Amino acid sequence: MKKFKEGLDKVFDLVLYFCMILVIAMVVIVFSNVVLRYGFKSGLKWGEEIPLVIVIWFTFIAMALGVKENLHISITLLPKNLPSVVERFLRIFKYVCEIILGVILFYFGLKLAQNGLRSFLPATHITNAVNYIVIPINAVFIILYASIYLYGAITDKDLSKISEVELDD
Amino acid sequence: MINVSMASTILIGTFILLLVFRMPITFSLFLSSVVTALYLNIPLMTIVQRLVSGVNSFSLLAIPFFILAGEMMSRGGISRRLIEFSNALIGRYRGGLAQVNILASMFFGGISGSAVADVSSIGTMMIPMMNAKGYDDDFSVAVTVTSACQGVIIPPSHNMIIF
Repeated sequence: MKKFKEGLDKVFDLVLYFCMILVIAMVVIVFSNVVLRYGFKSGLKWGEEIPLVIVIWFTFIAMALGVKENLHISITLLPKNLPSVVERFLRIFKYVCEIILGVILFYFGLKLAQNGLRSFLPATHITNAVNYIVIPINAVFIILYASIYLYGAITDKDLSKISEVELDD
Repeated sequence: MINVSMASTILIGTFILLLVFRMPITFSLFLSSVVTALYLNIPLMTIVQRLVSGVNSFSLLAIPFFILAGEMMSRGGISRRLIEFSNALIGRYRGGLAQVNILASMFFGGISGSAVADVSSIGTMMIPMMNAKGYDDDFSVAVTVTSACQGVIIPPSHNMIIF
């Protein structure tokens, strides 16, 4: 399981690097578009579409990153020191819910991407599926990370090591 | 038979229930709408599609740019100048450095709109400075953190874009 997580981390790191490149590309595109528009009176006609695709991409990748690092904010209405059985149940419940959510995102994201293949973005004529294909990618990472943490929560074996960042407040 | 009040009860009820069970807020929102959609026979694909079209807006681009601007400001030395400026304005009053800290955070948060960038740039300079002048550790950290969070509320910030 640990090896599996290390491998998954490596793949996910690659995706994150790809997203960093995308963000840099977005900054360059938007900046140069502004310069072209105000300086040379001529904009890039794809200068709005591509950044929007990039925003969708890194938003959804960030969602998977949030599952991996437990960054998503949650409210702790329940007291902090619950009996360990309840604590464990809550943890398992959370990861099961995340897996369900990932499955929904995967299935319908894939369907949406298939539908999107038929239409095209107006300026660049790329297929509309680029907007949606990131959802199944994101969902795969959510499912995998949530199942790793679920496994850790069920076996309760060095839980601190498996989920390094457990944000509980 | 579809009952609207029942549907809204399901929506709000599952949301609050999931929140109490320590689900992350984003996933609570998502799962409660999934449950409601199942009750109302709305195809789930609509939810996923609305998820994308919610992000698909050009004004949301400002958020990464705000964060980038905040990072650049904290690396580029503008925070030091802001601190000097606030020091010149109110540094001479009683409890001056604490007030300088708050004012600098207001300026910085107003421009960058990112609380994390605010703490990491203003805090790293102000907290040692305040310690050297005899303020408590706890007090200086508390002042920095609260003023950084508050600076984000002032309008030119990326949180206003989300609303």
